[in-house]
Amino acid sequence: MSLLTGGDCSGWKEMSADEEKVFGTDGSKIYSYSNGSLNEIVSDVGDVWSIGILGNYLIYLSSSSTLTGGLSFSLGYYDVRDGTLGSIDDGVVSLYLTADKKLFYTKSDGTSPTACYWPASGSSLSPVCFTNSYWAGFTSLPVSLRAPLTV
Amino acid sequence: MIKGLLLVKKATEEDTLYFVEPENLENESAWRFLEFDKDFILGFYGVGNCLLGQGANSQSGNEDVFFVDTDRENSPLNVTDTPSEDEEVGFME
Repeated sequence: MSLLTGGDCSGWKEMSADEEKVFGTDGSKIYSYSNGSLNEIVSDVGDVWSIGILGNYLIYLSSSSTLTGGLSFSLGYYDVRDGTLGSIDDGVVSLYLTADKKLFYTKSDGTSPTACYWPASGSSLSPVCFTNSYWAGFTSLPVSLRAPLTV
Repeated sequence: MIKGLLLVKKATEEDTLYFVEPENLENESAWRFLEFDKDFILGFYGVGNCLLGQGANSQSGNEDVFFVDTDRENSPLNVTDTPSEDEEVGFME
């Protein structure tokens, strides 16, 4: 499938962007587009459900089929600086949230949940997890409490 | 801008609900103890400190509606308490 050829973005199911590139997925592969050049950056990760930029990383949520006929969801990343690919976690079940330069999610081994966050910065890219716990939501500051915009 | 996340710690006897600000993720002593001693799978929604949420009863599977003030300890309340009926939160734009 040709994506964004000649400015035609048909086929893009999900898009995201940083300051230099546009990223898109057709549901099975992830592409980057910059200066008229389209490159395939992620493939063979199963079905791609969602992508998003978090700091220097493109985060993706993908799924693969299980032996029992269900779906198993995984999170992975692509480092937009050097093209490195990596796995974040498997068994993801809910709350795919990026906030405060972190990625929050809940995973499960089928018997008990685990609440995790992945720091998209620093020397360690290992998830930090709280066993037998799950994220039950989040809340944002009302607009009136946010710091005023500076110009 | 995110204000914080709600975290449920599951236990054999009772679950516990905490409000966790992003800067305190690694400092558990700073988590706000909101208390919750019922056997529900919870999910809250909203902006600011007053949130409505749903809890699925792990026995019946039916959902009740809950309220929580993330700025106040021991604040979770049952808005509905009808295990035999299924209720959900509706939002209007």
